[in-house]
Amino acid sequence: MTEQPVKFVASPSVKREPINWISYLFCVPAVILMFVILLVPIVVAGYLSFTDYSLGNEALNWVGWDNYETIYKRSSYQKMVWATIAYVLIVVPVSIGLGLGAALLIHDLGRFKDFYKAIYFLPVMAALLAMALVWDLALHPTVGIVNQSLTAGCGTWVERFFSFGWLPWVDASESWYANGCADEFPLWLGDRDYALPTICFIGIWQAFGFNMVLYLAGLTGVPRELYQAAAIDGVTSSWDRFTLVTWPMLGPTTVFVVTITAINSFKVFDTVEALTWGGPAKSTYVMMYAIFEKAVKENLVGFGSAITIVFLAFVLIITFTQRYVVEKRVHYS
Amino acid sequence: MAEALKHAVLIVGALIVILPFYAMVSYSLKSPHEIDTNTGGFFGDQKPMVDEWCVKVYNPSGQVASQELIKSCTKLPVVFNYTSAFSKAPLVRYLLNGVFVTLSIFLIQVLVALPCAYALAKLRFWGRDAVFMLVLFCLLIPVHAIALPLYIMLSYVGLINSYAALIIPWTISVFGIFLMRQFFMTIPDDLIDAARIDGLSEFSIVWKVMLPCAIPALLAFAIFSVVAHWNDYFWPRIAITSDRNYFTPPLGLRMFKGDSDGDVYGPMMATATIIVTPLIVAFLLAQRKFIEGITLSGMK
Amino acid sequence: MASVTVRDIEKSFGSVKVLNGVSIDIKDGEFIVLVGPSGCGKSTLLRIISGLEQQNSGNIQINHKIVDDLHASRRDLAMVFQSYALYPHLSVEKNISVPLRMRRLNFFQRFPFLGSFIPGAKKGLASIQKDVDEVTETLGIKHLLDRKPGQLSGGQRQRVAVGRAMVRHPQAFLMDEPLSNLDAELRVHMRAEIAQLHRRLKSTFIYVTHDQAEAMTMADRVAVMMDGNLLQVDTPSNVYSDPSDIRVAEFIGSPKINILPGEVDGRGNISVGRKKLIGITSAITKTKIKVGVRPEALSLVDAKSTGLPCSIVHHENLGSEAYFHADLDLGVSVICRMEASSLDNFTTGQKAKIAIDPKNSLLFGEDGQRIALQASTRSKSGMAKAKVAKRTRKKK
Repeated sequence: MTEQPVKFVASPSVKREPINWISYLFCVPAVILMFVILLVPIVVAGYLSFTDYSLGNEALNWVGWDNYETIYKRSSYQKMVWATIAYVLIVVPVSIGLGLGAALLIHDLGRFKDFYKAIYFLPVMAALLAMALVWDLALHPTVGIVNQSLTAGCGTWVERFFSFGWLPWVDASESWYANGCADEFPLWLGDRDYALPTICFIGIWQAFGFNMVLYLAGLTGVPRELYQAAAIDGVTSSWDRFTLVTWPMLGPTTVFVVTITAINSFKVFDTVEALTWGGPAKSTYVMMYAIFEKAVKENLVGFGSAITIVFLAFVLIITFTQRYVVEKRVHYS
Repeated sequence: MAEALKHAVLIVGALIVILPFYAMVSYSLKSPHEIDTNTGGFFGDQKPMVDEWCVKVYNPSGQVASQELIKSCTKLPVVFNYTSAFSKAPLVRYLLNGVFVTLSIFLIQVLVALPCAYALAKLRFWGRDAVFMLVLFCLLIPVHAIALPLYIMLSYVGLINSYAALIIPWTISVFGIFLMRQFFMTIPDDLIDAARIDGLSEFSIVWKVMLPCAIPALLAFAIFSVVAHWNDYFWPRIAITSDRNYFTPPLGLRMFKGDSDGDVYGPMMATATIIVTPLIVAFLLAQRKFIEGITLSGMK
Repeated sequence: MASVTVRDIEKSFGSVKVLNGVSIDIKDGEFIVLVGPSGCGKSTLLRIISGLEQQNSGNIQINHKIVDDLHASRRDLAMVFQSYALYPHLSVEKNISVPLRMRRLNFFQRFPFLGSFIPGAKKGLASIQKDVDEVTETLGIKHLLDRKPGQLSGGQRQRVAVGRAMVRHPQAFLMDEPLSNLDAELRVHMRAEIAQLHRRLKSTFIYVTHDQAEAMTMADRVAVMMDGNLLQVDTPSNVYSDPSDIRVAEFIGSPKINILPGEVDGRGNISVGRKKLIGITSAITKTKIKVGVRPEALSLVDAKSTGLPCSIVHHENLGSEAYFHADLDLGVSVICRMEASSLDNFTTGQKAKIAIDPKNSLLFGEDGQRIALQASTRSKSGMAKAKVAKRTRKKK
């Protein structure tokens, strides 16, 4: 979970005898740790990113922008950036859409509200690595529960339904399901076309419950009088109610959810490291994994540092955009 | 009618969400053969099976194993899976490591954050605003992003492969400071002044007045912190490069994959179940608290 | 503009009954105030009239047409909410135009961004603009058009909320404690402003408040509600001087009416603490009663005069007048309102006597119902009062 800034709240200016030394004593450990653990590493990474440093190798050469140039020019690192961005661009909207949808469905439910909430929240609680391994097994091309179930559906009503032949404009034999039955179902994580979407799917599966809970909290914050005012003002359809009241009132929640999901998606690592090692054909070669592979496994620390800096830049862009949007748009005052 | 439709959609969603949990528990109960062929329903047939690994250990020469040995190595699949989870790797040690690391992180975070938060919220001193600005800036830095330089720094001082490596990067929770400060702002100054008049030192105020006041917020933060670090895989993967003595549960679980022949799935899923269960059970018992804790970062 | 008729409305939330068969006829153009302590059901009644809440039985008629099955949006009523319920993300102008957009533009024309390109949208928008301008002009909020509600003061928000209600010329205005979020000074000011608005629009206003001062100052008629029952509907002055029920008498008026224990003998003579009230006789005889006396109908007299003996426990000087709190020897505390000059003669701690003005005494039975005066002793004004009292009792 990314730790997020909340709105700045100024301290009250209380006139009191300054109790200086003890205040400093209280702050010193925190301040030292902030510098050593959070700020110095950024400087270190920044510095190393211009070198060819590697652990155990005392000699260190200044290489200028070479590392960055490699990221910019070499196709495998272009792929890295695109894979990461693609992952974020898929996971963020889908997990937010599903989270919002689930929240809207659950919010005004009479019964079983807590039941659904608990179930959808389960993936957030479970260790992602463990669940990734389960998904890996479930998506195993031959013994996995997914492909076995799909195969079991071949030739039955399941195939007829999901090949959509009952829609007049669909040719059932051309459909994805029919092709799967005739030939074979995808290898999922082993297929270069399916690997990234599958990793995304696991990410979405894991994240949307969290978004749902945030939206549920947002929904309880919408004053009921606004819906009543809308009804009096002539709003009858749920679409109008949504566009006039719900969605604008969820603005602050949405900005926050987008930011936190985006940052978390940028950090995707567990699933890739455990399931695909960045492959096949670098199709899931995301930045966090690249840093791990290059710098920790292959000891190319200088180059890994350069990726770290690029990564930090992405994250900071997202947070500053959030700050800006929050201040400009959604506070409504 | 609309309500029924909602339930229908939600139930389909719930099934997809539950599927891997179902599969995990089911696989952890079944024999390798049942896993390979996807048979046996949820519980498997629980036909006794021969534990090949057990046979190999007691009969290293590779000759035909004696009847007794085979008999003593014959187990129910569920027993086989869960005992191998503990015997193939020192899972107990991993679990204890996990508990130790997670609790240490939380305690140190509180120890560091609470006094600082108190000073920022309730004391006046030169430079306070600067410290607070620092806190706000550091909130923007995700620790994951700077894992590499931390790794370099830790190996520079020779701390890689140690508990210290697992704990140190998380000792400072800027978010904790921020959260506690916001919470302390809501505590009336009068309470602190009364404590001062009663003769409490500033230290005692932090630990005897502010800490008890902050219990609800601390509880939520504890859940937030414990869940994050019990489940964390990324940092342990980097910080512990070789020494299995310092493995945390997710690292231990990861070891099952890689040398994967089909037999390992059962024990692997048993391990996964063991790792995931504590938090899930705690969550189901105290749902509200957990949701509150995990979504803490979203509360304004 | 319309009349609103409320017929035998009953409403329960679960097992809690909030309205037990309430009926009122609200005339076209009337300003009626529903007043009562919190929890008396007045807001629920308003929400049932608006269509936001559904009654369990009874019906609502607007212009003699039953509207029970009409959704709130189709009843053509406007409502001003306690919290104003302005859309915080929309500017003042947009807020006021919402009710018109919903009615004059179709689904596609309302669509964000693209809507204005749909045929007919231009014309609709222009007509909306015109009406919004007119309303903001009237309310004097033209300079606020581009602001968001969050940037407005309480009084300005109040005006915007009224503007949103006014802009579509509804059949009636419903107002749910619209002034309770304002500070005391502004409340008095807005009270006058809303009353003026009513006079100008000549529309029907149904106004809910728990503040009896608001009710008395603004209403054409006041409807006093308590515990889910409508106790009395009458003009402010009648509700004050001629309450049908002791609860009405106690709710209306500040300081509160004094209730003294009394007795009626066989001939209808009334006495309080053995002192006879001269000049009035009760229509009911031989019973214990409660005698309600407004603070201004009590006066302090010196200990030698006739009256009920008491000791003054506290006095408040309000400049123009003075309130004396006195404990009567018969065990009741009363408040008595007198001219400020009486402070020269009486002060806290003093023994004195209390004299009751019989003409302005209200008689209530033990059950709280008003008791009429006997015909032979009726004064001219008393006659009218007794008639009203009888009529209201019959209604019950």
